Amino acid sequence: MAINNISQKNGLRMVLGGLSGLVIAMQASVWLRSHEHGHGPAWMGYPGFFFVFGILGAVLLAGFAKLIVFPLLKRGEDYYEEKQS
Amino acid sequence: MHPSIPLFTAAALMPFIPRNLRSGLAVLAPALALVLVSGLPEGSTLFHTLPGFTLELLRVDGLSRLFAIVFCLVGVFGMLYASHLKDAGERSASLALMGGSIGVVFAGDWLTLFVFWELMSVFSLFVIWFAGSVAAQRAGTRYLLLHILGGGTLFAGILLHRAGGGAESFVALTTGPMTPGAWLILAGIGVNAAIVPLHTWLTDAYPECSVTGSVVQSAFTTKTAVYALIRAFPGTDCLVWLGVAMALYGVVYAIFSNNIRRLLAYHIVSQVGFMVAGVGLGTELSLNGATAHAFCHILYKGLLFMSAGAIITASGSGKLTELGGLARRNPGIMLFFFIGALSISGAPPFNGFISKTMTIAAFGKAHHLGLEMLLELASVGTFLSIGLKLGWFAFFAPPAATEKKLHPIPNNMAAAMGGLAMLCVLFGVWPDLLYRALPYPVDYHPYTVTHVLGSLQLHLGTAVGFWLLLGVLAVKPKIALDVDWFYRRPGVFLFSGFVGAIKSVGTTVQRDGVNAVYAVIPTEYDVDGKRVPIGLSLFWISLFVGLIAFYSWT
Repeated sequence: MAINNISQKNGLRMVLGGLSGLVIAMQASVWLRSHEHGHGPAWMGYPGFFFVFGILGAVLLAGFAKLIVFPLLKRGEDYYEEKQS
Repeated sequence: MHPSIPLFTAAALMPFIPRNLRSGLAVLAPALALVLVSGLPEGSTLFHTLPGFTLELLRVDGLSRLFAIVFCLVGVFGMLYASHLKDAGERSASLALMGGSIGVVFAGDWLTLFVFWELMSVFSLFVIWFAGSVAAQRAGTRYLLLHILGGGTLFAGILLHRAGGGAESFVALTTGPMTPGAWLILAGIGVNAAIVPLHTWLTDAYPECSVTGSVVQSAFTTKTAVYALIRAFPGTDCLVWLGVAMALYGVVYAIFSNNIRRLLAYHIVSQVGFMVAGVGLGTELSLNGATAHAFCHILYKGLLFMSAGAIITASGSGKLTELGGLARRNPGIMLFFFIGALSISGAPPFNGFISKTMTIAAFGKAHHLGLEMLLELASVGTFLSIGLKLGWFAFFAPPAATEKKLHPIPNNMAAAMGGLAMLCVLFGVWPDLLYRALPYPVDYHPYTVTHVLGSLQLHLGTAVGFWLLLGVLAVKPKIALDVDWFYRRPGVFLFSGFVGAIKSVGTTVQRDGVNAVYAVIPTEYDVDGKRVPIGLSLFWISLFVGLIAFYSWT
């Protein structure tokens, strides 16, 4: 019964949150045993670094594209056709 | 035998054979070319001597063979995807385009390269025009103009390069300082590589192709250019920044594109940016990365354009604002789309993961941390705009309008998507299959705990960011202006003004010239003589006689 009460939105949120927590926990366990991380600086290997990078990157790109660039460049879908005919 | 021969032969025969045999021939020709390519040992050559110079029509090494193999593979599946068509035209042009591409990758000298390069441009133009719509005709004409410019620049570069004593064979131009000829060649190749701001032919024309045409288009033109860059310009510094700019520029435009095929076209610009940056860095790892990424990109981008074509065929619309809810109504297309989307996003265990991470790791290994992070940012944008935005608004968001009846997808389209999806998974889980064919020895392991967990976190973080900004990312029924605005708006007015001025000068000179002729001829010619073109002819004849006299005298 309880499972039926979870909306699709909450379900997605739980899956996303659960998977993120699991993956970060897995990386934390690896990181605690060895702090080595390829060729990059140490902070690149911190647990959750790429998770935070993903969130910030998505917010930055989406905000820049949709709130700054798109309002300047958007036109009607028949913008090029209307003047040619 | 040169592997492009079956393709050109099939292209020439296509209109003359019965309709029920056309599909078989169209699939058979790239399959036969694949057999021929596989059978060519490294070091094979084929020369053709003409008065004054020798053409090297075939030069086989690891790099050229790898590109030719993936061209044939996507050719087989692209033709399978199109095998429900009855008409010969588009498939004939597609086969010739494949033949031209294979000619380019096996070309051993600059002139052979140029001839096949131009054949490719011509036939890809016909693939666009065979879509038949007015929009496709106009986009095709703009495509033609830009490619004439690119081809002319390339040819001018080749002539300058040869006049300056440069080598006849198609080899790296970066061994010495860059000459003006080399810069022109780079610019000419840059047009086909869709280097920003020379990219608009691609994002303008590919969405106007037929659904089958855009699958074929997505594979060849930009990737032959990447091949030419790997061959001729490894380690050219400016390409690093141009590539990173392309990678980010493409994803920014993809974030607000409403037309799904335009969104995918901007992602060609973005993904080719990764390859161009890899070529510019010029290390063994980055050149391997660029080659591997071109190989994988052809497979997953073909699959994505096939899925987009399937969506358009099923629903009758290619705009995200008119789509939604397809996951429930056609889960098959969704499955293939998400295999392609996760591949392009570089998620394990799909093929983009083994090639994109290699290119990015090359920047880390060369201690270019800033560039590495910018490419990671472009990866975030890729997943954000394809896997999440396109995936969400086409398949999961509630349908924008009343639900239209879905048309069934032809079986051959489903089979072609299945084939490419299998290849995306195969190369993803078995990277050695590709790595051992790369031009340099590979010392890179994609499936380490750090790489896999890092990639998973990047994708999950992007998904959380998408979730937070779902309202901002909502699609709008709008287009966004790009660089093509300059030649589609002010350029058109300038050009028509220029043509008008020339015409009025011509008309004035001609009228006054005719009057001048009448002024000197005897009066027995009555006024009605002006109604026949004799005065005009006399004017031109006297002008040419005058010119000849002038030249003979000087």
